[in-house]
Amino acid sequence: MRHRTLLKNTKGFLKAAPVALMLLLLGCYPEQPEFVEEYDIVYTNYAPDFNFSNSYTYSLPDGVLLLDDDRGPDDPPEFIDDTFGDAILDNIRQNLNAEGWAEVDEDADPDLVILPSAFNTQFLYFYDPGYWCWYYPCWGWWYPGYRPGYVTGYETGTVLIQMTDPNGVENDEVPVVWTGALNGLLQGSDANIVGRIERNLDQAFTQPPFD
Amino acid sequence: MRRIVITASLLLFLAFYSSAQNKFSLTYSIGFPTGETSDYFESTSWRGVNVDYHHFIQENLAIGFSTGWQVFNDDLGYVTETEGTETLSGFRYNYLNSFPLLVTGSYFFSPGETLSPYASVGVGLVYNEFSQDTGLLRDEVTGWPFSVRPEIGLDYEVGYNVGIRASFRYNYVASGDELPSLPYFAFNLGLVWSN
Repeated sequence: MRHRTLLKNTKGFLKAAPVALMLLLLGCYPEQPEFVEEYDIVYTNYAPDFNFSNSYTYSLPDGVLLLDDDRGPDDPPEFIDDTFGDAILDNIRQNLNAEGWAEVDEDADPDLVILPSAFNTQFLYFYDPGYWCWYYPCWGWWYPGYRPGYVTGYETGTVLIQMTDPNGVENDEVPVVWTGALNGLLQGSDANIVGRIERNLDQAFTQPPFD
Repeated sequence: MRRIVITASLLLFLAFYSSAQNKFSLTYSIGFPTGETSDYFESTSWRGVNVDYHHFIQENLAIGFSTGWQVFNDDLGYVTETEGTETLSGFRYNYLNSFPLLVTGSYFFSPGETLSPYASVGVGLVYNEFSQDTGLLRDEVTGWPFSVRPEIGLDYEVGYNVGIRASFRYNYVASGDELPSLPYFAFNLGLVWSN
């Protein structure tokens, strides 16, 4: 009698085993990042033979160029919203000036020409240089001694900063001596995105060779 | 011919299945990183499950298989890594999904008793999925490294052929397939039943 009762309980217990297994399996999924900024990354790379400790003059355009697959490089330039563009330009300016560098007009033969751009598709460090023909000679570019390629493909926002050296132009190609990329999800309020951009740009200028 | 082979296999399996006692267990597993695993994970894994099967070939001796799923994850905070001229910064999360597939040999010291201690060794492969996420970037390596797993445990019968199992395992997992060696200890608690 006792056995029968226990067996009955056993059957109910065994029926519950698959449910217990499912609950255990569902519980195996680990936690993910909670905040959008936890998905941000800052990537930098540079030409190893370029001396970044010198003081240079540099030029910056008035806006951050929008790279868009729907627009050809020969079309008039488009810029990202000033809310974000101004934050990016101001931050680059502050960080470079903190290095002892000085901003000059692009017509004043700057040592370095900074090309800030942004896009919301894949990372495009080899995008068509023709997008910048409105700003300086229609040079192509090359990456001396390094190849930026770490950051790839998500439907995210990317800010790409290329530091070009006009004095090193060879065969109509300008060397990009420093590349900085910020990548993150395009989510959050404008203030949140601006805050993340500024924090990540500051981080980029603490990484080698600027540390 | 194929039908004959399948039928013969099924008959053999049924004969094998019904001719001797079988024991099954479903246990919750808590994992403790050790060795190189603790270089990537500092936290205890609270996410694990095991399914074990024992087929008794003698009164004390059983062969069987063991599988399961253990998940380690750790939040390493904001990390900056430089390699050559490249530097990458972001919040780092490490994940390890470990699925052992082992053949086991187990010795039960007092089978049929209410308290039945046992010792077991499992040998086989582990499917490991190891990823290091920095922001949106995922650096993932998967592979089937070799594994050996000694275990001691205790089955406590609480009803007719039904009991509670507690066991302690050391999961040695060799390096291989570009994966580092990722061993861990595990404490398991769950249900055991037999036919």
